[in-house]
Amino acid sequence: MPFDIEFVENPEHRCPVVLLLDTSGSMSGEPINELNAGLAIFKQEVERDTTASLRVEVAIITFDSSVDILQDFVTIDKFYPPQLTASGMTAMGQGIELALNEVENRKAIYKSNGIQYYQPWVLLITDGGPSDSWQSAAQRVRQAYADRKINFFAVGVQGADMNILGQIAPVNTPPLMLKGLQFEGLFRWLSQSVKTVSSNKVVGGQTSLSPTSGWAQTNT
Amino acid sequence: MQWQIVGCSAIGTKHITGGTPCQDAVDYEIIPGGQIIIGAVSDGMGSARRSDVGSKLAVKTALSQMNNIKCWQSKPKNDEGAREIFWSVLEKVQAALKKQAENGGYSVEDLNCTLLAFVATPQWLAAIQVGDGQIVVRPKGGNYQLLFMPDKGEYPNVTTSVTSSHALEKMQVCVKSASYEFICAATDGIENISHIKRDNWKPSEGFFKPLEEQIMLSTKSLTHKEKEIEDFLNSEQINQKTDDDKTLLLCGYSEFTNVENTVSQKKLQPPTAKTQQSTIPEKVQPSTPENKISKQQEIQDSIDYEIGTITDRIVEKLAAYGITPEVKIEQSCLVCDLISERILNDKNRLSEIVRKAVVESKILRLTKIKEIEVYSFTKNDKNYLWLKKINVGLLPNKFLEIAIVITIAAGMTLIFGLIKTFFAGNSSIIICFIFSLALISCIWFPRVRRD
Repeated sequence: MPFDIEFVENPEHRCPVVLLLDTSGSMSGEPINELNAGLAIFKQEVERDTTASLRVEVAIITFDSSVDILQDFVTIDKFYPPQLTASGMTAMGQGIELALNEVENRKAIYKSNGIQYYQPWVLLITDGGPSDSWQSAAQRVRQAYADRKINFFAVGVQGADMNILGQIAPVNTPPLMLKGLQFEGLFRWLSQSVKTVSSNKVVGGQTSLSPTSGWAQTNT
Repeated sequence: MQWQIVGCSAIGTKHITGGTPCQDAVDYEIIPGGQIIIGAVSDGMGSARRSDVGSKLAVKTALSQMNNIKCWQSKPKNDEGAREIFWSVLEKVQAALKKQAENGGYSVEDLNCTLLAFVATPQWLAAIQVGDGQIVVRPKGGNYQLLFMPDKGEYPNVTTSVTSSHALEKMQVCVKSASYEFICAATDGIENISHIKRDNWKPSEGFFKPLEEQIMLSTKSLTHKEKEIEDFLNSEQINQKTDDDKTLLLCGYSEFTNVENTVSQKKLQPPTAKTQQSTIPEKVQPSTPENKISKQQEIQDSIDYEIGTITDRIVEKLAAYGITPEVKIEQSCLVCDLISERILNDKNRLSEIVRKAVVESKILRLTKIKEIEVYSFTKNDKNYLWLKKINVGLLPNKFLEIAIVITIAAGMTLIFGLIKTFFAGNSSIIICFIFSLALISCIWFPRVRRD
């Protein structure tokens, strides 16, 4: 095992965020460029808050024809946004399963290091529909949400199958449709929300989020 | 033997930086005779807009209800008996918060806060806890014990509020028949230091023992003890471990030598610690003239002491930047402070100096090395926001002063030249003298007064 002093060096509570990103062929061109820009903004925004940059940990999982952990969990100060490229199919089901597994693995690591953590976030961004089987993944998402294991947000980009997203995302946090290619607004919102969550006390069962009107379509 | 009790809240650095008020609240009372105490602390939740109002009201209501029902008159038979007592307390608190929310035009969730309260006599103790926080007790001859496990689930930032619909079910109560010598109620701001979490939240003796022995059992005055606690809560030592508000309420049962303090004061009101509370005027006890004088003397001493330490600390801080400032602090505006340093990002550091005054709180923010701004907020302002921004020239710049003197001298020379041109002979000397006199008095006297 490599000698790792990550948690000794930074014993802050952690707020894990998984970005589950669709890099299938249909995302190529403008959408993937905007998404890349959005990731850079996310880093920049979270980093403005010193505490949050030590608490928020981001992991990036991409799904196209296969599923990849492009970036394992890392605190924002050590996160360098990747340049995503798009091609292939949409293995969304597998992607979701991997994201949920990764969250659980990460929690186990926190526990073994005596690090406390906030409710993990999973943000799914897609512009299509799953090309693999997604039903069991959807069930796991809803179960995990009901057990307060995760916060799950699904965001559809133009062309996304909102019907299936609606069956994956928990009823309390229905999928949102991105206005145009407002990835910038989306990631500003995400950074604001995780900053708030990682510094304030909340009552069990209540999640107060910043308004999404800046980037999400109102009637989906 | 009798009880002594001291407590205070200190604002967390994240609230200083964010310009939000301290959301913790604490209050307590010694029932005449010194054998019974009641106390309460509350932690307003950061996610709730007006939890600072909520926590204060929760604490105030809990104490007044415990007083009304004289909860100390008979020891509850068992935990169920205690549940009955505290059920009524919690219901009163909920009702008060609901009313406040209606009157204030916000939702009751905006007042979300926790509540810890207890009543203690020499023979028994009963307590309630809703949400997180801690009550640590030490029975005679025993070790420090945690009364309730903190109400925290998997996540450290999720807990129960007194306003929650399930608060009555989630509340933890107990009654213990033992002679306790030490009780400490605290919000979760200090839990990282006070408890060994890996060891099932065992209270850390290294934390509580010094508090009990060096502060509670010392022969110092209550004012002094309370100031020590506040200094401790505001110390960098603590601020490095938490950016949250923190509150400590300490009680000791012992043969105190500084007895006069305990009996004559229903409740201690030193100038330093209660700035977060809205009830200062009503709570100050009427006292005899002699007491008043000695109390005034004590306050004056503590102010002088504070000013001395603040001055030293500012000088010390700035010395780190290679600056030797002359610091003069007016006593009318402050009695307490803290200085902490936080790294904002790779370029800026923020040094914060907090001062709390008898009637208003002030925050001095050292934004740049040469500039200090005071943000002040007074009790009467409903929002507790930073309303005034006063620039304080903390570092009288020698170069600037010299430049002013040279400019004045040059100006005077010029004017004298003109006078000499227009008034020939001796009269010009007299006119120059009168002019100089007027100018010097204009410049000099205001400066003297300010100093």
